[in-house]
Amino acid sequence: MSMTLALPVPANLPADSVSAQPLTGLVQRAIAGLVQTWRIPQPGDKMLGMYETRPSLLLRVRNPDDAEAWSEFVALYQPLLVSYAMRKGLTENDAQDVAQEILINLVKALPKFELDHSKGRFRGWLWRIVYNGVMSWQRDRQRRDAAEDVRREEDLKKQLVEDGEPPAEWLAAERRRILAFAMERVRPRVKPTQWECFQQHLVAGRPAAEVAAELGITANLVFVNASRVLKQVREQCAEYQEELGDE
Amino acid sequence: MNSFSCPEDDLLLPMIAGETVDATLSSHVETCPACQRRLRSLQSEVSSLRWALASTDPFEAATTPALGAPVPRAELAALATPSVTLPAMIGRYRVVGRIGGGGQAEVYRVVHPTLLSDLVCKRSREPVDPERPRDRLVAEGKLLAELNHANLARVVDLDFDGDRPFLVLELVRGRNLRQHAASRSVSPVEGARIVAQVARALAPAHAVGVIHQDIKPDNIVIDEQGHPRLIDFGMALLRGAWRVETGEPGEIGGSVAYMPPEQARGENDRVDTRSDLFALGAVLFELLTGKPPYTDKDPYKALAKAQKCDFDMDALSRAQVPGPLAAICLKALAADPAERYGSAEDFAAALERFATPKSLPWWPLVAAAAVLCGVLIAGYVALQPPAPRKAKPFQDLVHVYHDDIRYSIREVVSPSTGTTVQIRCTVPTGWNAAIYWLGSDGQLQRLPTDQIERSPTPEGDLLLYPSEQAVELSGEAGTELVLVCASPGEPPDLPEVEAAFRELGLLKKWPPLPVGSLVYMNEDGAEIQASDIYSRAPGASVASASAEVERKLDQLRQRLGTKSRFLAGLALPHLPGE
Repeated sequence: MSMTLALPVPANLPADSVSAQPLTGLVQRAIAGLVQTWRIPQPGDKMLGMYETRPSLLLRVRNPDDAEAWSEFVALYQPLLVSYAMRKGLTENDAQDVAQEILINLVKALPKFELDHSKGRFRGWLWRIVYNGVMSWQRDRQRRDAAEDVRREEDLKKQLVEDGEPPAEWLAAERRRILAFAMERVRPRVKPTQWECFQQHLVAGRPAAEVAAELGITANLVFVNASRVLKQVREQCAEYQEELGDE
Repeated sequence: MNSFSCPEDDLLLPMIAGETVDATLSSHVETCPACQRRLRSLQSEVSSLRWALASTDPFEAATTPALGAPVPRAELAALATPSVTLPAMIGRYRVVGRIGGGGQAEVYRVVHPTLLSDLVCKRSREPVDPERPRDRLVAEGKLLAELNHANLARVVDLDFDGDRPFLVLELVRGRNLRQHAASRSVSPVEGARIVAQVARALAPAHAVGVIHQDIKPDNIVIDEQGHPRLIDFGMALLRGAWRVETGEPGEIGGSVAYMPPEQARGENDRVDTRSDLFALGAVLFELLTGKPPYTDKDPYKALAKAQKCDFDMDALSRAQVPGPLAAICLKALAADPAERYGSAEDFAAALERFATPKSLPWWPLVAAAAVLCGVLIAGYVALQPPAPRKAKPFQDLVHVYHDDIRYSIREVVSPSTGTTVQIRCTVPTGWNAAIYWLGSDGQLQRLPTDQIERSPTPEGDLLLYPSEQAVELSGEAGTELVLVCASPGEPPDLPEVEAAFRELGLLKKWPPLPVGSLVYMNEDGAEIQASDIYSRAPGASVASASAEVERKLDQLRQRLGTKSRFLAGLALPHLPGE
């Protein structure tokens, strides 16, 4: 499944909408974001996904000056990289190391990755970097460990991929991580009561009346709160190029 | 019906939870295709969230709880797990991970914004001392950044993240000296060489007045090329940016185990370049004896000893450290800075004199004898200064064990009856090898192949005989010869080697080599060398024995060597037992 990405292009800013002062990239992007959020749809506009309000994380993280995007990217993917490396047989310490190596490779490779707005292509590219990162690390480890059978290095070299699609296991784990992370990101942005309605009723599956009684609100308000949080989680997922629903 | 405005999500949610809803609403939704799609979409979203949270490990496939069924609270743990929190950027450097943190600084892996090189960033935990002008810190940073030595990790940048100073350093991949020494035995000569190289790296820093102040094995990295690199220069600078001296151990920068007395006493005005030499001497001490000077777990006790420079000097002799090296180490560890080496270069030079193979120390005597007596010209000619170093190094085939510590034959007194020895030789990877031994009794034997252990290394296959432990040297005193032959096919067998010895008239006792004399051979030639530790000059007649052994080895080389063969030989003196 692929989805369209909302790509606000700073170039579509009316020239007179900003001051003549040269702008830093950050300010420019901030304005671009505002303009995009508040822009009235024009006839002939490409139909955008209904919940895309911000440029995707992938788009933002390619900018070397966007500290916030990088921080978010690391927070999102680092635990996944560690889990993946541990799944490949590394100890937690080693997995932390290899996650660093992979993130370094990503810093270097992200600006060169050509965005073509297809989620699938990015997912495949990311997985190959992660997979090759783990494999190279294991190869280097064996090279350091002179007692290891040297032939295995050749075997490992053959295992590196230049092509190929990520296995279902990786895709499922990545989706799971994105969904959980999107919820983590939304949680501090909403009121505790709203969050409880969402978590207790929608996620944990407790009856709305029970949750309402606990919080001292009406059952209707539980649904209203839950749906507001759900909307934010949906939008957050879209920023990570993931659709919350899988239909 | 479709003209009726479709309900918002909050009105659809009760339906997916299976709760009762208003009849008008449900009849609309049942017949409205748009609402049906929306309902399915919401169901799918809620299922996805439950699926995502059903296990904390993203790779753990858990069954998705059915809609409407409660999910146990414990399984929502994933939400509570905080993600890693890293600073996104420090200055203009992008942070990719945390390496660790010492007392004074947090350590991160960072990437240079434009050059994309891997670097290490150390950010002070404390804000810069407002009393201390930043300019001065920056000026010291400049000095650091200008330091450039192969055995030093470069300082790339010094800047401020808000009010916290940070240093950006070259990332040196490898193992620190502590890990290096734990994984293999470091011989005295190797230890001296490592410390000498670090001392050489210190010299240019000391020349501009920059002191390291925290030299310890953890701050010396053996890089992937095998070279020692001193890291963490400039940490003293970060500390100095905010440190307030109170004399409490926690306030004293550096590691107490290697600390010079003046630093331990907090006499900051007395801390100078010679303080680094003490710490480096302490590193050498640990390499030689296995323990740093101050080992007390209680930092107060360790500090009290460090203040008095009270460490166990006898550890050096117990570890059988060669006398000259022990003396070098103790001079660096002198309590009074004035009694230490005057400079890092002096310290390095002393270590290098110890660690570098010497030319034969008895030449002058031999030459004098030759001039005086007008004889032994042949022997003298053979003892001309060694030819330019051969491309292929000779191998120290025989290693000696003292108290379970292995020394190369060069580093010890010539073995005597009862000394435990082991043969170690690196041959080309995968080649078949045979090891021959011509004993001091003149008997030639091939050492049993099944007792030779082979392990692959990047340089080739390492052969060990015997594989498990060393054997005692037995039999009579005289000259022992070890000969290793290897070939991609079959190495020369015992009859062939025996025939070669017999034809050359070598299948007999060889002339006894003088103490400390070693005669090496490989495919390129044969050469007399002296053990590193010998300075005693043997008599002229024995020197001629060395020359004779060298000629014999060279004959053997020409007889047995072919292009496709690997040869290594070593003749060594076997002294009578005590």
